[in-house]
Amino acid sequence: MKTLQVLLHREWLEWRRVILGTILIITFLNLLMLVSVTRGSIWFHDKLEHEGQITIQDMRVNGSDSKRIDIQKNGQSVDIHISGDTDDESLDETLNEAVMPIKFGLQLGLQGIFIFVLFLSLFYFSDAIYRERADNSTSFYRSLPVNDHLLLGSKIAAGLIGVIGLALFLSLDYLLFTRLAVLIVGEPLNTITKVISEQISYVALIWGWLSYFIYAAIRMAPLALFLMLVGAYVKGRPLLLGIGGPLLLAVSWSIVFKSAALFRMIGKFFWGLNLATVDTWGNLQLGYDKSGLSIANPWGQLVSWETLLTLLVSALLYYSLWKIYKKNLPTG
Amino acid sequence: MSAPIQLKQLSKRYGDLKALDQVDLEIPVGRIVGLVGPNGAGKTTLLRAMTGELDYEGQASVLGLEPRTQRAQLMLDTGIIHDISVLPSWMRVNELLHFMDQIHPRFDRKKAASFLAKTSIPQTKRIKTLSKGMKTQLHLAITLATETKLLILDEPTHGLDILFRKQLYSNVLEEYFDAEKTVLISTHQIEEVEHILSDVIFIDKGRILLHASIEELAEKFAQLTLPAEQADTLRESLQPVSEYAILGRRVFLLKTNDCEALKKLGEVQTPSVADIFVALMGGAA
Repeated sequence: MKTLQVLLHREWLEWRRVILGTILIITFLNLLMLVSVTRGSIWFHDKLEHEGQITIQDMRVNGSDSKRIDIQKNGQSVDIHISGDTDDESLDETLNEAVMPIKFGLQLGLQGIFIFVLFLSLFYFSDAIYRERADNSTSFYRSLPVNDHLLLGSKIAAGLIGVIGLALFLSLDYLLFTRLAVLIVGEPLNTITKVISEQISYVALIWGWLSYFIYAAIRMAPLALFLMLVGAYVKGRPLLLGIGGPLLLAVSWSIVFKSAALFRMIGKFFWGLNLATVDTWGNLQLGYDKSGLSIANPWGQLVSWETLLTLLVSALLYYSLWKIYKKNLPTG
Repeated sequence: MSAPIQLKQLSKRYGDLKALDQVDLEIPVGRIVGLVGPNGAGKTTLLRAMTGELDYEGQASVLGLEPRTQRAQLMLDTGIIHDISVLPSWMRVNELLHFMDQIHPRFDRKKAASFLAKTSIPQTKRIKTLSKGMKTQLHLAITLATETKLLILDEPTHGLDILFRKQLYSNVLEEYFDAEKTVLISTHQIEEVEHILSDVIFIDKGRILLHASIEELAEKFAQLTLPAEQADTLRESLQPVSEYAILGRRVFLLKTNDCEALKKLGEVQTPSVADIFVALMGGAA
């Protein structure tokens, strides 16, 4: 166990600049978003006041047949009584509709983060063995009293922990900034703020992560192992060959045999992170519709033929990777 | 004590090429053995097979372990320095020391630090920024600071200057070697190491041509210098392994046990290991 910890620490040392750099960039972008939203809010207020428009200071729904809305005009309260449609649900629907663009923004932001992390993971897995081969350090690591499975396992584990952990951290980072933004613009939008606050549960998000981690790791394994295998074999450009090779094969297959079967297979087994992240979002949306922003139980999704097949493919890829890794082939 | 290195019918093929061809070898403990051969002779392949770095046919026992299946265990008691820099280039020197300290139970960090203190290697620098000589010094420092029973040096002085080459071998002698340890040095520059060797192994085309101690070599081979005319008449009867001309005289390298008889024919000397190697390889014929 200690050896694995040391090897994982080695991976951290090797890749920490990429991880910390990513966190800094995403945090910076979040900060820009926050500044932009804050400025937009102030500008909105100033403009309305300057033009003598009615500023909505607060909007409360009383839950009675008639709805009272407190409105101020240039700082002085003006009571307006609105009658007609007094249906509670109708008003809730209206509020939910108002929240939808914010939900959509959240979804877009999180998806962007997941895609960004997916992109990074492609680099990591294709380079994990290739970089070792390029600087000949495979010979050094294999001259240590550590077996091949620990050496390879530490790289796979570091990649999965890194990618999934980074996705989690960046998601929380993003959600934190989003909440800050909502709080800052919340002055005229208190009700919307309240609705969003009720729907985001950070505790539930973290609590559900452990089970999701196992689920995502299994889904990601074929893609990760395939890219590592390519990195252990080719003389150069492992990412290009690892992604371009199967795609070219699939395109050729579909032209020759008029069948998208290979595309589907690639999508199924080698696009695991995408599936995992899309599934995550599905779970997040489930959370929205229920008690809070949390991850639904992935255990149920784990027990399936697809999972079994994924594990078999992963085992086959791992065996090939181990065989080729032992050969310690030189790079170009 | 059984021999730490025992190889029987060890073979390795790369397609049609026989990199190792039924190698039989037994190296006892407490020896410094030179593995000598021209480029492409199979030296590195033999060392890689012995350390479990590649698959092979035949039987191998190194420190009582089977290298292919027990590599990790074998590496607990084996130190290796390769002909090229194999240290992870992205690591800093102090990170490497920390890593070794954590991963190798026989590594002595203080000892490594004391070796490095004698060099000009900065501990905060990344390995990729060090010169080739510094990288070898660093690797030597961590290898010598690890308590092992077998040390394998695969052309360790490749591309280094003469001062450093001499320093490296004297470090191995002073800081590492004792009667309980075995050192195997692969080289094609035999003259550099012959003064520290107790045994030599000549290898070519994947086959062991000769395995003998330095004393046995001195007993088995002699170098006879004689006038050219006399050489022409004696060539047939003496059957030299090789010969060459020097200042109008001929030098025969002979396989013989009777030096006294040769002394009557001319000037007799003990040939250097390099001379014997060149003769056996056919380079001076």
